[in-house]
Amino acid sequence: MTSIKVVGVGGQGILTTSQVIGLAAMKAGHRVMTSEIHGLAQRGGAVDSNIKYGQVVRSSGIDKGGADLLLSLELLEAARNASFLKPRGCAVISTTTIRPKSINEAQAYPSQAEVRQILSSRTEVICFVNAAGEAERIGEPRVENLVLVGSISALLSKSIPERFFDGVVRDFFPPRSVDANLKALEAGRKIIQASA
Amino acid sequence: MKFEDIIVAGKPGEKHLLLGNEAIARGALEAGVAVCTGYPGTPASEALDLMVSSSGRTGVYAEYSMNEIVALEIAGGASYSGLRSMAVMKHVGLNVAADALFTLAYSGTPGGLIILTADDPSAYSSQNEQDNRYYALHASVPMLEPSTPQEAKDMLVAGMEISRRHEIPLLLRTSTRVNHSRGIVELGETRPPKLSGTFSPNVQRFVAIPSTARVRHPVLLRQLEELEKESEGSELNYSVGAGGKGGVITSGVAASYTLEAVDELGVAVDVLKLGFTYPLPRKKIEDFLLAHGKVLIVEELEPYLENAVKAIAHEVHAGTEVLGKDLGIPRSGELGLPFVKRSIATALGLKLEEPRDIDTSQLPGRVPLFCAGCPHRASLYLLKKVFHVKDTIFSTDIGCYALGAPPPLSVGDALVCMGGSVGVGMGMGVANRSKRVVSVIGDSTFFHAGIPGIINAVFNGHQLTVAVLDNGTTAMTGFQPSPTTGAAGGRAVTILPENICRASGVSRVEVLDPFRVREAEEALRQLKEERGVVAVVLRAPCALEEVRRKRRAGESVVPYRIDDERCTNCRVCVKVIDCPAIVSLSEEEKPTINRETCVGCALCLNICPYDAIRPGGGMKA
Repeated sequence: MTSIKVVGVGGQGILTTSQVIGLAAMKAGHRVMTSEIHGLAQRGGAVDSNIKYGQVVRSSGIDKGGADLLLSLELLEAARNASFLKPRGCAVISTTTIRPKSINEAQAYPSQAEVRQILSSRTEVICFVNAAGEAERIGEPRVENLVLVGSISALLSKSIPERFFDGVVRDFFPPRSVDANLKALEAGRKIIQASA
Repeated sequence: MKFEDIIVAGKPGEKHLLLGNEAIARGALEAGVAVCTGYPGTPASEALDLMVSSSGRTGVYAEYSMNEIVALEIAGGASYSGLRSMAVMKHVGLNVAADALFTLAYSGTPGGLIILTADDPSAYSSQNEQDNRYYALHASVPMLEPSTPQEAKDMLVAGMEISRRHEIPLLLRTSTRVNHSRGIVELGETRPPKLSGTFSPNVQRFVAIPSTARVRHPVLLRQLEELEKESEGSELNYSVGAGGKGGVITSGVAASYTLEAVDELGVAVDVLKLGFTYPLPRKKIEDFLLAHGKVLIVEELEPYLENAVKAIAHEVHAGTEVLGKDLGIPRSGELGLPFVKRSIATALGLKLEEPRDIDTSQLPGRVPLFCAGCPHRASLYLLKKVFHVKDTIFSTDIGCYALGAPPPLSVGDALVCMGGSVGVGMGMGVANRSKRVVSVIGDSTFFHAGIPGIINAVFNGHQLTVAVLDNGTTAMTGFQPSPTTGAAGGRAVTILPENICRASGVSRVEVLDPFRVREAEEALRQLKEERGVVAVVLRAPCALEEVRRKRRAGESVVPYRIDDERCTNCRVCVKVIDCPAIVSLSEEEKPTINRETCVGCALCLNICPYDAIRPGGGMKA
């Protein structure tokens, strides 16, 4: 079974992101469960969702130390959820930063190096992805999350062949946005291939 | 992604990755539900949303009712007339509907009636985390508890048959992780809704007066005996395992965690998974107890199963050690996989290797905020400015505007329940004569349960100021329609809070646009001079809805910018209104406005003492 924790800030599109991953896993023939939080948590609060897939999946829960892969749509949230990562798991982290409004003088927004440091007690496999930059290059800021999905699809290709992610984009996205989202998946994969 | 198409047109045998609430909506169509009512509330909302949005295609009569008791009464009336009915609500909604529930249990509901009650352990989006399984026990109605989206769909179909067979309302009790988990769901056959019913009058049954109630209660008790037999033989209650010495009894989402924990720990433990949890299958539990030396009860929230199982163990002298909450399964908060794993390991005397937590307590927190351009921010800013915090008690209510209670806005001293701002406000007024009391209430909440309070205030001569924050939608639960903007399906019926206030005898009612800040402030100052019951309706559309509308209409959203030369870094804009579009990197640097986030509401322009905020952060599409 593979457990993926997706984290970010309410409003970033975490639900759609996890749906794409969950659907790709299903299309690849796995049992799948995901969990989502709706409601008040969406208004700029910290949000998370779980995706679990494999031959047998009983629940959508992920323990501390239980995520094979941590996908963070935002830099600070990756650090906050470090405990969920399995020892020697893998983290894919967007370099996008959203400063909390409630930040006070005693606290500083962590740097990329500090985030790496926090995660390092779990894993050395940390990949920072400039998803916003890639999306801008594609010319469609809204495909930022699909860049990240592309990155994790390269890491998950043994259990979910990459074509299943492309298939989900073709089947579920509005026709006019399909091309940009496919380009985003490809851009995300290239980043992983380049760092391998 | 169009899940509505799957729900409405999916063929039997197809498998889809559905949210629990989507599976519930599909289940309603497979169960032949003809009438579906409810009031939105997390985590139940999407089930009702889908029933309403698809009603044109399915032929189901579905509506957003004004509150949960009205919803249940409508479903009850339809079921009295033979129609398959369903009422959808969150856990606290059933408190509102409880009066109807208890009597519907006495009369019975011939057409079948499912009540979806969605609990919110950990109170992610609620004022409490009550365990609604006790409602089944309390009202003497049967209850099913699914663990997964597939079960949620299947149990709705099975539950409707049970409800019809016994002519009794049935609770389908879910929790957040069932409603808001996705799982692979295999679809069944839908059953076309039968919308035409026949009501056969029967005073002895349908008219609940003392003489009939005394007759119907024993009828209900006899029905419970029949239902216990049904629970006993039900496939929804089953055990898995190969005859281990230890056993676990569990239900709902806790059953999923249990099955996973047993797999992961690789221990020989039998699991009695209960899906039909009221009445409980007494004999099955008895047999399970007698077959195991030690039984652990794994359940979320209250010891509902635990107390029942302990009673059975005592009565049959099972001699089985029954463990549960005392072994570390928490009674508050959401149950997670780790708790369950740890408890099963502890019960078996195993030691668990758990990775150490990484300390992240020094990281900046992230709390939900009003969106950029939210009219509630403007309204609460105005209320605070005119009715000073030290002279005023702000009684607030359920809705996005409750986010205004913490600093910096600090408008919200008490919050109890839907509509409670008005009643609690009156009590505060009686007890604190030297202070003014302002009851803050949203439009949807006003219609839900605020109106009787307002009539009471006038009738009993209270001193009260009611501020209705009318954003024209039920925003927090997913933008369901409100009477101030018209019903679902585009029916042009509008009912305005100011008209209801006037009709109720409120002595002065103002209707203001909170974004016309100076004008609104002046009008509020005049209102403040008045005594008795007065009201202000602060009306401006929800910012998220307004930006969507502008996008659809091709109108541009003009963000603002801060003129660096005029800005003195006085920090009023940062500290007073807490807008996510105003970015301040440090105390020393002047704030800036994020043009991607700013929607041009211009509230900051109205509060800047140095006239440093100007339109034109560049146009955005």
